[in-house]
Amino acid sequence: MLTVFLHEIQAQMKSMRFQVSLLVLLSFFVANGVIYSLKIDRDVAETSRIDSELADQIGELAVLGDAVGTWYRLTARSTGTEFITEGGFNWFADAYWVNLQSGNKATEYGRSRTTNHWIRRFEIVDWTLIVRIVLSFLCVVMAYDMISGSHEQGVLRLTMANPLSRGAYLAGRFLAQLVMLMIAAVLGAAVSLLILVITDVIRLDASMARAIVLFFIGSSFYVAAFLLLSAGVSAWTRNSATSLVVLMLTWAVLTVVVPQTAYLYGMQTVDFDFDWNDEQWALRNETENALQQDGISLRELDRGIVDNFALERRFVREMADVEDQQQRIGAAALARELQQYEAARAINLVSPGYAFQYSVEALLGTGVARRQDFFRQAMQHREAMRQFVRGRDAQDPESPHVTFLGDYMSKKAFDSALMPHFRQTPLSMSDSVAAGLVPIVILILEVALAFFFAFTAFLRMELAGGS
Amino acid sequence: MLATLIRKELLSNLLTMRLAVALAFTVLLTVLTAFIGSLEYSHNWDRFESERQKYEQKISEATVWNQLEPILYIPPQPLSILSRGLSDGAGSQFQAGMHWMWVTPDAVTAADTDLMHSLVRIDFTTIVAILLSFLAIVLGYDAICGERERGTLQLLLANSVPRSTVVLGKLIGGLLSIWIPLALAFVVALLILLANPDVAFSSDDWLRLGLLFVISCLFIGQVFTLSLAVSAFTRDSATSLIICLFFWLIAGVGVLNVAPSLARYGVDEPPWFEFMQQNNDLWTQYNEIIDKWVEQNPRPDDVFFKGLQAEGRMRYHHPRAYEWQARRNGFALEKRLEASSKRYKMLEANQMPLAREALLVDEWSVLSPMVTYQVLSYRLARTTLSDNLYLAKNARRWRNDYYEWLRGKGVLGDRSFFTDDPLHQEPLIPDPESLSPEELAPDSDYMRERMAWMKQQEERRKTSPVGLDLTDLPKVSGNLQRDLRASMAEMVPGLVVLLLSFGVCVLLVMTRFLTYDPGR
Repeated sequence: MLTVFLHEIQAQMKSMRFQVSLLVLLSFFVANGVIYSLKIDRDVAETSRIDSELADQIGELAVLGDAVGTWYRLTARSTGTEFITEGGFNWFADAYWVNLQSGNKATEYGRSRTTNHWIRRFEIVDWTLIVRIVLSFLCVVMAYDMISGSHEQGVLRLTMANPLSRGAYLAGRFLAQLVMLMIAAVLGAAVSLLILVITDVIRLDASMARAIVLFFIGSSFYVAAFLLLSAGVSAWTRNSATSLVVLMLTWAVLTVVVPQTAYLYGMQTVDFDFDWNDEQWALRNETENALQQDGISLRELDRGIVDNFALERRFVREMADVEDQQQRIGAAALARELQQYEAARAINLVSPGYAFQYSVEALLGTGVARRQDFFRQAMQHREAMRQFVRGRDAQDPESPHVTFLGDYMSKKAFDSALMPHFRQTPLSMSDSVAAGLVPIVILILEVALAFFFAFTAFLRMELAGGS
Repeated sequence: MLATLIRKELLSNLLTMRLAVALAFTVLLTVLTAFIGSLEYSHNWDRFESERQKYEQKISEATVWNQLEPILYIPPQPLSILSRGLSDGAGSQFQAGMHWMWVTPDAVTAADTDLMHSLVRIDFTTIVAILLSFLAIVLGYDAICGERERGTLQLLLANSVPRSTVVLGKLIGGLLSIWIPLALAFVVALLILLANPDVAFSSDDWLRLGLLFVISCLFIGQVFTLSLAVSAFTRDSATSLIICLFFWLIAGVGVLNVAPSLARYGVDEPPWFEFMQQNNDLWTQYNEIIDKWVEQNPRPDDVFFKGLQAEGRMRYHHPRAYEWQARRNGFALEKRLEASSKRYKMLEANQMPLAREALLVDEWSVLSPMVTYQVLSYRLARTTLSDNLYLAKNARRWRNDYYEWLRGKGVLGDRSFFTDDPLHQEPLIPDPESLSPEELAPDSDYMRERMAWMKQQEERRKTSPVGLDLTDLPKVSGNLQRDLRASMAEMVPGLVVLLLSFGVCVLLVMTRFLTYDPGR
């Protein structure tokens, strides 16, 4: 087996096919390096401006009451590994607006970074895309004639006449090609990293190294799946030209067709209606109108003090109910939105490309799990700010203490720098693993399936014939 | 003789098991794509219709001009099923709001979320550009060098057939063997679309469909002759295959993904929040102007403004409140429209660089036959950004016409803009000045009684609403969307590249084959 392995490596090194593949792979990685050195640069500048804008906004708050009526934009941060896998950083909501004021809407979410919706029909060239599309294509190109080529040249019969088991022969050749392709990928990745390090947009530290290692583990599973599939088809068809056509169509269906139908499937199966946003506001306005007709509306401070702000407190109580209902509507909508996406993802998982991509996203702590986690963190932060404001307000004896109505709270000067500061924390290990469980299992199953297919096809192959 | 050669090519292509299966499979996929697209179209059409009905309901119920924000509805295009381009498929809308004008129209219902945005979608052109083009390559890559390797080329040339006839036979035979399945796929896809009652093609659409088919044929032919040329320039089919496959990878997948990523960084794009800040400043300015006016024209006391205020409409307010409000509107609405023009200029300055990036992608499409083909078919289906910009430009003109019309009617400074109270409507508080603050408190007996009276009035008015007279509401003047001639003009560069490269490939194959060495 070792001999087969070494021989195959030598043969591949000399083949034009491998050399061109290496070149193509390198050029994709160079493109990746260039694109991301520009992209990260721009993102860093934009993020710092967004951050400083929020800091300014908080800095301008003079009294506690002001802090209640303000919309705060909490921003999701990049993981720093977008060049490996974008994980929705380009498209997913990256801003969560929160508000503490009673009777206002508590939250909104959307995008704050510049997004070009007009080129959204394309994906960005990250490492996962290169591996998912280009490297899998190269697998097919390298291995479509792995068995059938030798068979057609008549070499296979001669080789098998040696005391060498078929399993060992296939394993040797497969492993050699796997190693070669992975070396090519590592070389490419190194070039991309070099560009990113030279342009000073990333730093190589332990967590980055961990991400890269995880990425390559995932990639080698994916490449193995495609190589085994190619070897299997090659043995099964016994003819290189047929094998190529079968493999290319399979490749195109798995990497292009299946993922592109996922969207349609999601949209068809789960209906998502954006009316929930209007619903939330309508609920609030209806309640306010009803309250007004019952004579409950906010009064001037000097009038309210007569009955210790009973009307205002009643208003706040009613609005707290409204807020609960709004949150329920919002949560239901979010769940449905996620359900729609999960439906599409289920289709995508049929393709090993996406089983691979979703595995890497989960292992690197990004993708949809990170988006959901960001929303959770933002809500927690809102709670922390409420606690802070309530605590500060309690310390001021002159305040009417109507929480949370900015005009009826502490009017004393306060140091806004003490307000809790939002900074998104990375996805926890357990959440990552939970998010990655399904895709990882599917990826491993797909590799096992391809392995089984390749070996049975080759072990049962009729060696007679050939030229 | 030529006919015999063509026949031989056709049969050897179509009767080979693997190619026949592959072609059948591709046809099947096209059909499947058309089917899914058709389902989605119906879904979108329903959504579009329900949105438009909701809007028409709202318009018919409007009783004051303030409630009227005319919307231009552009129904989903049936051609977008086949070539999706930028379209969301759900149709688009353009609102004649007082504050906003957009650079491109909005999707009618933003039914897809930021999560779904991250997914890519399939259509007919993808299947042609990726799968059929691959089959064209498979047909062409060993047509010449393969025959040389097998030794059949020598035999063939030993007959008394001129080389030019042989190569022409190969060319035409190959083209036909890929055009036939393409035609089949196209026709079946069309039949599927026609079976959907929601899909209605206009005569203009039929012309566009015809052109789409022609362009698809040209594109497939171009890729086939390209691979034939590679085959004529190489000695063995393995080399030819590698060259063709890598060409396909780079031109298809490579350009399709790398070019858009690069395009974003070729242009200096202003950040989005910069616009949001400018917009905030604009609002501050606007509010300052209005505050200054209010300073000079003091607002009547709050009590004059007691009444109902909902859905952009005031009722049962004191006449003095109405008089002041109308004067304020006469001043403020003009300022608001002015501000909307300024806002649009800022938005344009913010968004045009992004549009430029997207347009770059379309311009760079000439680098790859696959992308050229896709962009050409998007232009035919009017689903490119440039078509959206064109549409929005006309829609903005229509918005101006609308406000000109309102101005002409004199409603901007008139009470009919915000209230449908009859002139001598009894207000909620007929004589505010005679009441003490205690009586005006929301929980006083007097106020409770008046609120009950208002509720009664409301019940009565529910039965007899008076709608607005919208008979001469301005319509869009001229074409909203590009006509066929304008679309064709947009397609010229792509078409030139397509035809030229097709022609050059044919010439290359012909001339090269005349001197090709058939020896083994």
